[in-house]
Amino acid sequence: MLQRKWPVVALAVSLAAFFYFYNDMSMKETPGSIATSISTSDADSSFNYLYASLQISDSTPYYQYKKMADSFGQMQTMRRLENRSISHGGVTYGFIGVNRIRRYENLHTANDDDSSFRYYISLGGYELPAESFFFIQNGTYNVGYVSWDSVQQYEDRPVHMGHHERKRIPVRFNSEDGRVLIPISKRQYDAFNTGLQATYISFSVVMLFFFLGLPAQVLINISKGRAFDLKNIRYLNWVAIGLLVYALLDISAPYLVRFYFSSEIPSDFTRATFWQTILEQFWTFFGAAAFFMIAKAFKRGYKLQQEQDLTI
Amino acid sequence: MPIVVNLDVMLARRKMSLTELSERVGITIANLSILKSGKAKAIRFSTLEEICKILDCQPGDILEYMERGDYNRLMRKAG
Repeated sequence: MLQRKWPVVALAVSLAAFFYFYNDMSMKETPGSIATSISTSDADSSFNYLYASLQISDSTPYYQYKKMADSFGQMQTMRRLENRSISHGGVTYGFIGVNRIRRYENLHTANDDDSSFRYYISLGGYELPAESFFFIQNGTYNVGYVSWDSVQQYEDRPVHMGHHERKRIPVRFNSEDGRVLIPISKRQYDAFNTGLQATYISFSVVMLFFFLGLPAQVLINISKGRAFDLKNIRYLNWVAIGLLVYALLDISAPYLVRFYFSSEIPSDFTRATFWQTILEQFWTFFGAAAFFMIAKAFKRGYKLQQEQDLTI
Repeated sequence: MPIVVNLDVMLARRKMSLTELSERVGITIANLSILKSGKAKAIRFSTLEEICKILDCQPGDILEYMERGDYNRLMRKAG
């Protein structure tokens, strides 16, 4: 009786665990709304003029105003472009990569000399808190964050009052891709570039073998009438183990790399929680479990076939 | 498995070869060899009926149950 109910129980437990963790993650990602008020002066240059606006007197001639406005607009565009830290070369494989970014003074040039670029190792999966922001000023990397001053009552609800402050950090940040960029030399960039590409190619070959080659071989064996074969069972188990190893590597490798660079990356940058990382690999784990079960079914089929073949 | 097939004993008693038995029963020599060597997992009643008819014997004359220990000793001796 218990054996007959086992798949239903397993399915119910799996679904319950999935929805529990999914719900838990969703609740953590959606904080409740809190009224805030953050003050920053328009003329404040502390954040590289991010919040600045053009201050012009009423007596300024229009042509002069237009010239100043265009110039100011161009400078703001260049600053925002620099802050975005968009890559102009390099490679990225999942959570790790190497990037080169044009220096500020070379942003609108076609100069591709080594000296026109800065070089970085990029680590993905990072983000800054909602009120914080990254900016570059005079070649230094900085984070602007909110310092909360007080809580005041306004129309019967509390309002958190704060202001922006800044601090210098040793790394650059690409907020669009969520990548922390650790400065390295050109020589290190070349070495990492070569190493990453070699690793990627080797890894791709192994993955193609496990996730394409082996299933294809199983299908070929089935088409030749050798469905319940010991080789097929072995290949299916290998695919399952390969998926499991891939999922575990995908979970653990970012943590290991982060640990290695922990002294470089400030605590302002946050990553997904361990359980969120596990949840991202849910379908890979599910695939591994599915292949294990298929291998078990094939093993049972093999035994039944053996009995059939050896029935006189 | 602890069921021993004494087919060779009955063949010797009836002075019949495996080839002749296979022709008369309608089973290949390969399958009869599997049966004789104890590698068979199961035997159909229809096959047992034919063998008993040809060899003029009872199923108990061909099939014998042994204790596991005695069976293992027998297999070691035969191997």
